[in-house]
Amino acid sequence: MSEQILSIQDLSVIYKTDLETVYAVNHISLDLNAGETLGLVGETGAGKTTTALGVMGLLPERTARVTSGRILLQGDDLLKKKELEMQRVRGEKISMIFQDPMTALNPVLTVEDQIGEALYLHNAEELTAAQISKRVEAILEQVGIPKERKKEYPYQFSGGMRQRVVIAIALVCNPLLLIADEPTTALDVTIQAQILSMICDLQRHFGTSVIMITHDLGIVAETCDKVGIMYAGQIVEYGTLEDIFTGDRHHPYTVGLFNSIPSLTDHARRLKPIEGLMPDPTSLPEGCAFAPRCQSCMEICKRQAPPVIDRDGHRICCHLFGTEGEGKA
Amino acid sequence: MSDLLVVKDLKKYFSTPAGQLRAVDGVSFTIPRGRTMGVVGESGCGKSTLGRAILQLHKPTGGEVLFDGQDVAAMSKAQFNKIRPRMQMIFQDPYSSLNGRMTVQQLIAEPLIVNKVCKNRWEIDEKVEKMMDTVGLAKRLTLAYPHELDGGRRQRIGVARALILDPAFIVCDEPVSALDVSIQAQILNPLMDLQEELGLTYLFITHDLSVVKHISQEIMVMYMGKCVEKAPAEEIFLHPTHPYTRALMDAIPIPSIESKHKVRQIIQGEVTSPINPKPGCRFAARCPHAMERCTRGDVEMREVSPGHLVACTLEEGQRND
Repeated sequence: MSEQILSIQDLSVIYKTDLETVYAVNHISLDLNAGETLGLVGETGAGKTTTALGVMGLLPERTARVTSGRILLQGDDLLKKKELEMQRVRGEKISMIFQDPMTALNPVLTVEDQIGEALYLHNAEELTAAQISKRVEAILEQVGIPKERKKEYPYQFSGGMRQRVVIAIALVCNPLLLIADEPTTALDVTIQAQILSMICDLQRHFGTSVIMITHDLGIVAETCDKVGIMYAGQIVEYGTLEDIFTGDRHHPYTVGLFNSIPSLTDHARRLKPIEGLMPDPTSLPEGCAFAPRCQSCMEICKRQAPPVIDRDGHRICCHLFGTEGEGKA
Repeated sequence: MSDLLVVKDLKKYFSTPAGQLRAVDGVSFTIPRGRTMGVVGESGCGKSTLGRAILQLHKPTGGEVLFDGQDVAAMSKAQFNKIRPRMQMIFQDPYSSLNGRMTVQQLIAEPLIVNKVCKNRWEIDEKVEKMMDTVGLAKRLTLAYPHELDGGRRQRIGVARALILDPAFIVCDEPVSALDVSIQAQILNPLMDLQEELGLTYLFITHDLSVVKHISQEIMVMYMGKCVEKAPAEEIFLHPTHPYTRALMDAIPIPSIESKHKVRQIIQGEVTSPINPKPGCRFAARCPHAMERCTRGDVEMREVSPGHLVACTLEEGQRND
């Protein structure tokens, strides 16, 4: 179970328009092994979705540029692939669950057609129409939809049920990697619990690796093995679930993020927000991007980009830990 | 009289081609002056309709809303317009609730102009400036348009618009659910500070139990137009009694390392249609403890401990979990 599926190395993505350049993703690196779940956490605009679209090869053609890095899927660099080759990868090896099930489905096709489409397009086993229909029925049952409903259209399903259809589409080709981009943000908590436990069950069943993109640290705690905390296009802290949720060496942003969550168990009445706002991605500050909001900001933070301090795979991108002389800059 | 708001058996039905949609179906509660009542529930449970019916943005189908002892539901429009400045609302989405063609100054001044509160422009300008300071909007933003601002600042405008008429009661309809967590606190903290300072009374509507725990003294859980449980905030988190409340609390992902291997009871199924609902407990179809008597007739609220009301037929000790 330790085969490496995905490795992103030093990836940078910019969006360039006539007026401005948005630095959406800045030099991020991460690894994912078979059967593992990686959580990418961050606020709106942190670059989570851009990273996912980069892996999928779905970045908007006209504006987005990958300026550095490699994305290796089982050792194969996806960024070097031509569009036709990427079409074979998408849906078959990597698939994605989108945030909003209300808009991710085609309203004029039945769910059977939409799930079957992936099988027709990636028909390596040369399945007949009847076999494909059988597969669609099987996956519908697996995601908890009675197979009798396969001839129905998306509008006949509730939000939670539609997200189940989206998950069925993503998993029907048994991909190596599933990218779930805020899969439950549009759903109620009781439905969210149903969907998350289903994703985890199916992941175990198929042995799929998952990248779980979310802003909810609670979801991360329940589903992920590894976590990357993103801020202004960078992974500011990266490690195992234990690294991030325990211990006292953390990036100040991680600490702020945990403190700002209203807790169900804590009795403090006042919340601790992170003062200020995420910097404008068109003009990131020199030095550390978090420096203007950071409580432990030092002089050096404003001038120089922080080094990545790596201790047994727990990476923190902060000057605070650079002075200890144990990290490699 | 210390209760600012008394709601008695409030009902709001909508007529649809398929039948009568019972959005709010007989909800009663009181909020003492200077306190916060939190209303929790999933989408479609009627919590927003409840807030709007109290403010007469929807004319209630039945029931009473006593504000400061006067029944606002029975008032004429002219009478109610006199009281309206005292009851305000903060809306959910700061992206669609503000007119994009008005500046911050105009947006905050609008309620003053509509209600003809001020005698002249200078008075308006002065009040707006003071209010911007109160909610933490920098003075340089006076002439900015909403699209220039981030979600947190826009919601501050929403708060300022509600506060400028000097209200006694505010319905906060999911004021932070469109914001990132690190920004949420930037709105919730001032709301709590202002409550202490000005003695405001809130009805705080949200789907987020952890937010409501922080801000409310009392919490009401709604399911399909009915209040299923109502208790002081501490009490409801310590002893959640209704199966739906328990399921709701169990469903929240907790950001702690222990939750990785947590085995939770997930309630199956989804909210059924509130159109022409079946008699009895609305939650019975999804409830793991449903019995025959749950669907026989309406389930009355009963008190399980002082101030803790539950609409469930289960007796203590009958639960098999």
